Amino acid sequence: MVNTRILTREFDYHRPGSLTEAFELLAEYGDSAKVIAGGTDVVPQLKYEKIAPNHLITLMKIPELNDIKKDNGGLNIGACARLRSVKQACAQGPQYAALHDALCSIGKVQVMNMGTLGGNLCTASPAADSVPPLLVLNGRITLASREGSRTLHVRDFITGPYTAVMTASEIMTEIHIPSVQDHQGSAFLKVARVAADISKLSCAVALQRDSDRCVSCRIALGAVAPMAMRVKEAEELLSGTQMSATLLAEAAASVSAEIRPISDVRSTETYRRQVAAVIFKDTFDMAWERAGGKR
Amino acid sequence: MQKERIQLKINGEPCEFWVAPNTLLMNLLRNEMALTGTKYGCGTGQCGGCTVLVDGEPILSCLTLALAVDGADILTIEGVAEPDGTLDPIQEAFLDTAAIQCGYCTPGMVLMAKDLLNKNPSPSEDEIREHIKGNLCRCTGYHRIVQAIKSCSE
Repeated sequence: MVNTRILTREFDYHRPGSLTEAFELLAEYGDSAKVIAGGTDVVPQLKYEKIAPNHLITLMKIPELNDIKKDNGGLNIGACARLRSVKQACAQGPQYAALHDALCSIGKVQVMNMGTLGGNLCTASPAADSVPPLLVLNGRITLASREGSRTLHVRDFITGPYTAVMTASEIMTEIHIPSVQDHQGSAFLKVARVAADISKLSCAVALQRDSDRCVSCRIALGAVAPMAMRVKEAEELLSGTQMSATLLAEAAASVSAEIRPISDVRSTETYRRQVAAVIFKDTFDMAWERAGGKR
Repeated sequence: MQKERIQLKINGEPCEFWVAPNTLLMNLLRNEMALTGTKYGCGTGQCGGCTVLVDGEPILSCLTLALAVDGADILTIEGVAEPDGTLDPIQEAFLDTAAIQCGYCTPGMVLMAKDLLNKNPSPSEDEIREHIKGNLCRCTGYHRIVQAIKSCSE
């Protein structure tokens, strides 16, 4: 059994004060280095010997990674901004509602003070609560390296359970949420055993409404597949249609069929399929109401 | 693995340590400073027993490298009462309400209560429960703890 009281792994600890310095360290130590931000994922991974780096490189001393900037184009969140600050920033605009919901449920106060949005994405857990909202809000991330930087959609970043497209020389610098008003209402809900727990299942919806018509709709679910996924069939069913209880029930059935859940310590496949339909409906209703609709 | 020098203010007192990179803040406090009020519970960030305030914000010291908080101001449960031993009103409230049974979660709970009341002097019951949701208690059923915090609200 692992002794979680101590860290047995021995490593050198580096505190670069700039991205340039961080890139140099990554180039020097390569695969023997692990980047750390808030530590809420990396420290348990070290304790459980899931990773064995000889060098830990903290990004928390790089000022530009902690900034959160708001402009006409949307919200630019530094990858190492604490979840608490990101939550506060998301509270300021209805266009970020789904991410705000997710951040309210992501963890305890202590974790909000430690964890970062970049860290949540880089860990790439299939149950990461920030991912479904970022998928429906069309979130983009920027990865930087010595060679330059690239921006990609969140959907193209995570490639499987705990894996992402990031290379060993890259650092996630920013998460961008566009403020384009192609949705008027968004929401996020999750099912977990207790208040501060990992999701059994999560759902995010962003939609555009024109009186009783659902103009467009994006739906994403977490913890129901190797990575958070959009459910395109249900989206197509709803987009451009007159809303009705029958149609919503049909879409819910489609969500339940489209997801690919497994049975694990948190839930069974059967339960996840059943609860997905219910949680989707609740999330949709919440987003619909926020878009000014009545149900 | 080179030891590095860090400076901390712990319960108002400036301190200096040479620490190995894999030293956790929890163990620095317990082993070097004998501040054993900070509890080891799960070691994986689930129970909240190791909660301390770093620069006024609660964090989990079992998941925090000591080197990561170099220069910080740290408050542990030992720093909550006055230096002459006079208890903080929230500590008195825990005693008066019998919000303690085995006591293992109490340091974390008291620090979370202090943090909440600092930021929100009159929290609702929902706000209290939300704030302590990451602190597990296996004895009290939480009811008395919530009552104790409520009794300190303005």
